[in-house]
Formats: sequence, C-alpha cells, structure tokens
Amino acid sequence: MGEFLQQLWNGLSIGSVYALVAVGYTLVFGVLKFINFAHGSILTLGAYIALLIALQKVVPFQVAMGLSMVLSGFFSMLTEQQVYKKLRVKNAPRLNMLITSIGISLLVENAIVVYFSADYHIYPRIMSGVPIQLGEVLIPPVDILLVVGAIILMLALWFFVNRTLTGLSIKAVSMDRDASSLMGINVNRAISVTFFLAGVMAATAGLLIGMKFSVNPALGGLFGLKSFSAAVLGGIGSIQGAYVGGYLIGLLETFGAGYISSNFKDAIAFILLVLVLLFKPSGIFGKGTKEKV
Amino acid sequence: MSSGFLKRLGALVVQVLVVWGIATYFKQSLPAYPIGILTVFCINAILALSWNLVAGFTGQFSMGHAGFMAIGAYTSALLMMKAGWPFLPSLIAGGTLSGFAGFLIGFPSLRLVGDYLSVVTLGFQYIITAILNNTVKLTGGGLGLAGVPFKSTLPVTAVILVITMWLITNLVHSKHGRSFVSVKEDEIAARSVGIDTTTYKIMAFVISSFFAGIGGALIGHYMMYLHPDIFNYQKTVEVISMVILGGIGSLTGSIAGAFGITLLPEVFRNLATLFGSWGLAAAGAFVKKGWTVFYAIMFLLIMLTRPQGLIGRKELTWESIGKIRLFKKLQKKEV
Repeated sequence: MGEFLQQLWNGLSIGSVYALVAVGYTLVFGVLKFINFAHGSILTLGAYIALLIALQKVVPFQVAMGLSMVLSGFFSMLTEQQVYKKLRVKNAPRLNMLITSIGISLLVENAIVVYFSADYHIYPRIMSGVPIQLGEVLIPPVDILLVVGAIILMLALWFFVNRTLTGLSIKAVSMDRDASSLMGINVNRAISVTFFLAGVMAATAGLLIGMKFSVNPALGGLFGLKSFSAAVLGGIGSIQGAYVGGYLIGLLETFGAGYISSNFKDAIAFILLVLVLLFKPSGIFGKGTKEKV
Repeated sequence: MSSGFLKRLGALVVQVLVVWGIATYFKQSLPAYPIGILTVFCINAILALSWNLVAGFTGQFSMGHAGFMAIGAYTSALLMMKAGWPFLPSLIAGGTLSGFAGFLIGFPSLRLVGDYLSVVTLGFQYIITAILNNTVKLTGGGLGLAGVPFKSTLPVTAVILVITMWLITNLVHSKHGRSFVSVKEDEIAARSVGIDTTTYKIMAFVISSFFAGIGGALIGHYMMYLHPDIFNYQKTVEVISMVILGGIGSLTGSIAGAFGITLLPEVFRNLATLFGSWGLAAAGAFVKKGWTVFYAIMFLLIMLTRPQGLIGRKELTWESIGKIRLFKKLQKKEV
C-alpha cells in the first residue's frame, strides 16, 4: 500500500507538469488549429531565463523565476506576432506554420546551447531537500510547491478563460475565427493573449522541472511531446481535457515504470497517443469534427 | 517491358558508370577533406530525397526520419559485425527492415487526417532511441557501437545516390506518383475519383522509410561508430531543412539543398579560421560557436520570405539552366 501511495504521489507531481504544458498546446491548437512545435522550447527557455537572471546575482532566485515566467510569455507572444501572424495573413498552408514552428524551436534550443553549453544545469536550492514523511509516503517539499502551484495556476487559467471578457474572446475565436471577427472581437489580440498564457504555463513547467530535477537544452523535446500526447488524450482544444490528460499520462507513466519496467518509461506516453488516435481521435473531452468537402 | 523503360534503364547504367568513374577519379586525386564533404553530401542527398518523397509529394509530414535511419544503421552494422554478412546484403536488409517499420507505424497513423502523423512519427523516433538505449548487449546502448566497418566510400555513396534519384524520379513520374501528388493536393477529391489514398500514403511512407534506412546505414559505415543520440530530433530537422532550402516537392531541389546544408558548417568553420588569421580572434570564436543560431535564423527567413524554397516545385534540368537569363545572353553571343 505504501508503495502504491508513493507512486500515486509521484505520478500526480509529474502529471502536474504535463498538465501545465498540455494546456498550452490545447489553447494554441484551439485558436490557430496547428501543432505548435515551438511550445516545448518555451519550456526550456523559461527554465534557462531564470538561470540566466540568477547568475547575475542581482535579485533572489524567486524573483528571477517570476521574471522568467513573464518574459517567456512575452517571447511566446512575440513569436506569434512576428512570425506566425505573417504566415497567417498570407494564408500560407498549415504545413508552413508547422515547419516554421520547428524553426523557432531550433533557434531557441541552439541559442541556449551556444550560450550555456549542452550539459545539464542545476538550479540553486531554495527549499529544504529533506522529505516530509506522511504515513508511508515520502514527499520532498519541492513536490508540494509543484502540485499546489500547478493547481493554482490551472484554476486561475480556467477562471480567466471562462469568466473574463478577454478569456471568453479566446473561446469564441477557437470556436469560429471569422464569425468572432464579425462580432467585433479583436481576433489578433485574442490570439496574442493565448500565446502569452501558453508561454507562461510552459515556462512555469520548465521552472518546476528545474527545481525538481535539472535542466538541459533538449528538455523541451521530450516533455513537450509527452504533454502533447496528454492534450490529445484529453481531447485537443479542451482545457479540462488537457488537465485530465496530463495527470493521466503522469500516473500511467509512473505506475508503468514502477510495476512493469522503468526502461521504457518514455515510450508509454507515445504508445498511448497512438492508441487514442486510432480508437478515439477526439480524446476524452473533445468533440468529434465532421469532414466537410 | 516497354521500350521507354529500357531507355530509362540504359540511362541509369550510363549515369552509374559516369558517376562511378568521376567519383573514383576524385577519390584518387583529391585530398581527404573535400572527399569527406562530398561523401556526406551524397548521404544527405539520399536522406533529403527520401523525406521529400513522403512530405513533398504526398504531403505527409513525417518527423521520425531519424528513427528509420537508426533502424537501417544498426541493422546493417550489426549484420556485418555479428553475422558476417557482406556489405550490400546488409545495406539492403537495413533498408528493408526500416521500410517494414515504416509500414508498422504508417498503417495505423496514415489513416489520420491532419498533423497528427508528425507527432506519432516523432514519438516513434523516441521509442527507437529508448529501445537502442536498453538493448546494451546487442547494440552497446548508450556506450555506442564502435568498430562498424568502413564501407561508405565516395564512389559507393555517389552510385547509391544516382540509383536512389533514378528510382524516385521514375516513381513520381509514374501513375503512382501522380496519385501521390493527388493525395497532397486534395485528399477528399482524390478519394472521390477512386484513388485509394491510404494505400498510396502507406506506399510512399514505406518507400521513404526504406531509403531513410539506406541513408542511415551509410552514415554508420562512414562514421564507423553508432550511438542512439546520433539519430535524434535534430537529425530529422537537418534533413527537413535540406528539403526546405531546395524546395518541397522538387527532387533536384533536395539535392541542391543537401549540398547547401552539408557545406554550411564547413563554410562557417573556414570563416572562423579566416577571422582568426585576420587577428579577429573574438569574431572567429563567435562564428565558430554561434553558427547554429545563424542556421536557425536562415531556416526561419526561408519560411517567411520564400517558403517554396530556392527552386520551388520546379526541377533543375539542363533546359531550365539554359533559360536563366545570363546563360541566354551567352548563347546569343555565340550565335
């Protein structure tokens, strides 16, 4: 029982990270209908901006992390305004947007490798490393911050999208871009805000990974892809789907690694992705789309 | 067999002989550095052609090319090292196994509409990396596989490039090739006129995986060393950038793009040395370290300003070269 609870906690803590990243994929897919391959690299960028600011030794690490979240959000927004928008107004094929997002991820990762090197980097410790014992379960303090912080952020995002005017405009744009533009919604602004929110969430995930493990420039690839699997599992385009999908992937991966084999831990998410796409491509919460001629 | 086919076969034999002759001459007369670049260019061109077949002609965006390359590379290397097979059968076995993997992954995922294929294939590449890292006894895992026999000489790679080019050119100009393009242009319209789009997508994907496996195997036999991390996401992006540089859907464009991307690091390396010799050591070090960033910026600029690539969907032929204004002027002068 003790081991089961321990795995459950581990799965929840890593699942929080996947959920944070997955919601970014879902938001961007909602408004632009394309898979943003650069989203994973925003996660890496967030993790490294904090490190960069911390290395200047001007502000404490907590402030550096806050700055990093905002700056990554702005970077994400900038990629949309300077790059994707130019393709969007030209009515470029969706494939071109996909390739361009690969280009952005290449730019971010190469820039980090050039500045920092391709090695692993460790964050300065801001919390005690002594795990808290809860019954038979050992919980590192950083895990509590991770789970609670992620849940607060997710609730905040849910509230923003469903209860504020700007959030509702994002929802409207993801339902029908042309119609919402006719209704007087500033579509470009809604898309920019979406990218900003997605960037902040991804950067937070990167920071949490950095505090729990370590960071390296290739971090975003694997985490991004698993989170994308989570978004598809939950139903791409649905925010609560991304949350549920993230936690499901986290739990399945930890239990798979704990009870079956840890060697193929990374493969579990992708096998799940293929199965979902085969049997229920709309995911758990997604609505099926009709193919129109 | 039609006379047209025999004619094309004859052209292939002539091309193979000519290229073999030139490559052998180069191999004997040039220093090792340019020979190395030319060999890598030939391998890269095979990879670019194979990715272009599936992305440029059928419009299916595969992101798992490095995974197929890894299968080909390890199969061919292990067959030669552990089973004592000769080079050519190992190479073809590597390509075949890779093509079979393409069938396994393509069969379920190519029925999907949209960009999901790219994510599934990317996941496939991570699975292959995980498998390679965990089969230490067979593949050496994270320690790498050393002692792969050197077989990718310039004449060998050049001839395989010519054969690949011939096969893919004939394929895309055949009835099947037009079906490939119809899938890319409008899948629903293609289906409505009775083209079995799923079969054609799988067919293109399997052939593309086969050649990716061949290319990967040649990399192994060139570097004499294999490691799971050689075949990562960055490797796939490298192949994609060759096709983008040349133009998606243009075969000669892929070859030109492969040439450009192969030369790029060498250009920057020489530029760094040049800056160093001018006494600009800081600029030299900057170029040497930061060229990957320039490369990424170039990638983005192509997508923003000329997404069709340098050549577009046209093909470079002797006729089209003749149509370039400069050459036209020269021809007029001759008259």
